Amino acid sequence: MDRPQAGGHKPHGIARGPWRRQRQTTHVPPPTGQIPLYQLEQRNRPDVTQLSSVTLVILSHRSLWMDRSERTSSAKPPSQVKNGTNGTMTSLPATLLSDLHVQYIKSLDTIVPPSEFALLASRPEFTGIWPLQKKDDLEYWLTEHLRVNGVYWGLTALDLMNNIDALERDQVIKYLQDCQHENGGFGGHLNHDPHLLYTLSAIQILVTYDRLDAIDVDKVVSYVRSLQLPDGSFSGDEWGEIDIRFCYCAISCMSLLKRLDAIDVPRTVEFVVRCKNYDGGFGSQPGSESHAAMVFCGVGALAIVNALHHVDADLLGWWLCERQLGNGGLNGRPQKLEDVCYSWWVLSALSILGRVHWINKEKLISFILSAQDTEAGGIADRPGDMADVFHTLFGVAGLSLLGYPGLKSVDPVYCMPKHVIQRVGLAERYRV
Amino acid sequence: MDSHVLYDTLRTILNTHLDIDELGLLPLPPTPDELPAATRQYHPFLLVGTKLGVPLDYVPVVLKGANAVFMRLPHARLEEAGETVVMALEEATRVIIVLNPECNTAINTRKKLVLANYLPAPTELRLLTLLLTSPRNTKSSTAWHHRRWLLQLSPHGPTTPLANEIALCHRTANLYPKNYYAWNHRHWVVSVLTEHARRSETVDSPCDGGAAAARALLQSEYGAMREWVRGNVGDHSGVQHLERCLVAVVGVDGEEKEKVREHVEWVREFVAAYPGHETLWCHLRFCAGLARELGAGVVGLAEEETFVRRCVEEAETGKGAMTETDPVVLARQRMLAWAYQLWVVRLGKRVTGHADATTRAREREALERICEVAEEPRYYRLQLEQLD
Repeated sequence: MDRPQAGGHKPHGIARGPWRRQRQTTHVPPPTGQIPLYQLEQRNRPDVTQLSSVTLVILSHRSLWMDRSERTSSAKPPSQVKNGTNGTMTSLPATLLSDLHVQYIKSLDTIVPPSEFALLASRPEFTGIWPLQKKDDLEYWLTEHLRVNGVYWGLTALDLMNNIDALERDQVIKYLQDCQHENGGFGGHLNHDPHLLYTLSAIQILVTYDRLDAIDVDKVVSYVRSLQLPDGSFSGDEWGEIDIRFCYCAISCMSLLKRLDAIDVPRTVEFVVRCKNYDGGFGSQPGSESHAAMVFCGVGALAIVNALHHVDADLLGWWLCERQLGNGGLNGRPQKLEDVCYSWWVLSALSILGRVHWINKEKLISFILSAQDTEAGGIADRPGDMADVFHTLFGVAGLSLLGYPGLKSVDPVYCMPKHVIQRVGLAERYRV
Repeated sequence: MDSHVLYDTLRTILNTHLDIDELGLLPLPPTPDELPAATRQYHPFLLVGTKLGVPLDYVPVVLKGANAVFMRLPHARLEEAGETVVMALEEATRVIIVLNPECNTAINTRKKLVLANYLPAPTELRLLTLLLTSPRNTKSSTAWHHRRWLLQLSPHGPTTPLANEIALCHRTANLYPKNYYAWNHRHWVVSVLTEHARRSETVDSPCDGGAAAARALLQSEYGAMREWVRGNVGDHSGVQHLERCLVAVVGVDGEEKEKVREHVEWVREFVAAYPGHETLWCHLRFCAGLARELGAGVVGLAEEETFVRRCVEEAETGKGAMTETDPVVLARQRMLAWAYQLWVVRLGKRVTGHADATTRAREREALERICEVAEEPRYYRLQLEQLD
């Protein structure tokens, strides 16, 4: 009856590397039941139904078409999916393994440890590359174009875990300078095209370091302004993709630069409100399905410009609470799997609305802790999967919002350390 | 294996075999003797007939090779590039986006190639159709936006029949369920059709037949989605698209009340027959709101209450149309039924702005019952305390 569930949706750019892979070192139960070879089931395919030798080769590979973890979740019946993590891990970590996660994030930098930076920076071939991913990894080559997001995720997680100096500050700043384009926007990596997603990350990093002086801020302002459309929405770059995520990027960025005057805020608010749905949530565009990450973007943007009166906090709060599943984890849409990153998207919105106490905090804390990689460090989307820097940040930031001891406080509107938001004198637009 | 050699092999395959119509990722590389003799020279790539398989382990290696070529070329200043450079750019970005359509810089370069008339839009649309046969690629918002950009290039509207786009979305909905951007694309098709259905008959329309054809296509999309939901009762994205279709059909054809009334009755039978699906109850919530917008006489409050009680009773006794016996699922059905009562009561409160004694009693009843069966009752307990 029900279609197989695949992994949680990640919007491009605020997403981690797309291939969900399971850790080899942890015991993961094998898929139960028959794996649906959906490609054979779903469609008429005359060339495949004739059993020639050619077809047999395809058939022998057909069951291997998808990667293993997708097939695992496909094989779960809906009732298990609804409840579930991969399940049978024997010992779950009871505390946040901060030291291990700091080591993990540092290990993603395969270019230069801080101690050797000065020496290497003097060499002519030095490019300032900051990969935040091991270069031979599949993940590296799938996410190279959003490296600047990766630096923001890593740096913010490190700061929340009291280890901001684990990355070499001057190297990061030089790298960002090299990613800024003539038009003011930032590319996701050296030699990549500018986009609002990377421009926001670059500004967040520079504000965290208190180094806005390192770049041309006026150019950033004119870049962001140039992307606003007549209906108030923002295009992600010059090519016209419209999404509520880009409204958030623009508003957050202009607010951090104290230049909200440069864009048409009332129009932006109008567009964001048009993305609101009957259930109180927000979709990526007017009429799109409510999605917890889009809710964060909508609520965050409205909070920054003092327009939260457009949100029915009780209605949306209920929808956000309905995202919590029996195991304590949160999903992003009805009947989807729980995922650590929604600890951030859902919780930050509840926090801005002053309703964090509406969910079961203890169970959510246990769920996030259970998704840690206790051997190599880092946090995954759910227990047993491969850790990545995206989920490591949103796991740590979620724990920070939940008041987990030993972490710096995070600002739920900007997803940056609270001390940074205080230092630059922005109002705290939330109630924890 | 050398990244440049692998890149070159894949580039050659894509240049030579223009009829490839399906792309897959192979977690295990094939051995040479597993490959057909005719395409053995392409090892480790698997080319059988029109199906191309790329071993997962070699994806980063190929991307590294393609990227090295791409980054050496002046992709930012196409106008200064010569024919050879343009060809090399086209090939490198083709390999990159086939394996990783999220690479915005590669996709942008291809847009520039289209605008400079180096790359015909229909050819590019065919490439997108191919790369959207790989389940992982169908999640790429960049790929879907690229497709929409190509379709909107002509000032006269989409250049290919919108029925093709619906068919493509239909396939991707099965390849990767709850695929946010694929459903967004399908929403866009419905919105274009709605616009055309409202126009006068004489204006050119993307469906070769003007407004009447657009109306017919909308109707068939609504019918197809009802059929699709029948087989996918847990897929909220699909159900949400059905909501869009319902609104579009009602808006274009009139007879709102009758249509919504009939739709609600259809949904209710589903909700009762397939217990425990949050998705279906969400859809019912949507319909409740729509019915109220259309005014009195579509769906009555007493009727809603009777339906909730029927579902609760059937989940408790196991009677009725359903075949489900799992106690966890049945408990969830009861929880969802009471949550629906809570929704309806609150919807009434939002509309009227106040709550009488009966409303408050109904709200309390729903909250108390939910607290008994919910897997995570914290929110409902707090709401109950607030009532006291």
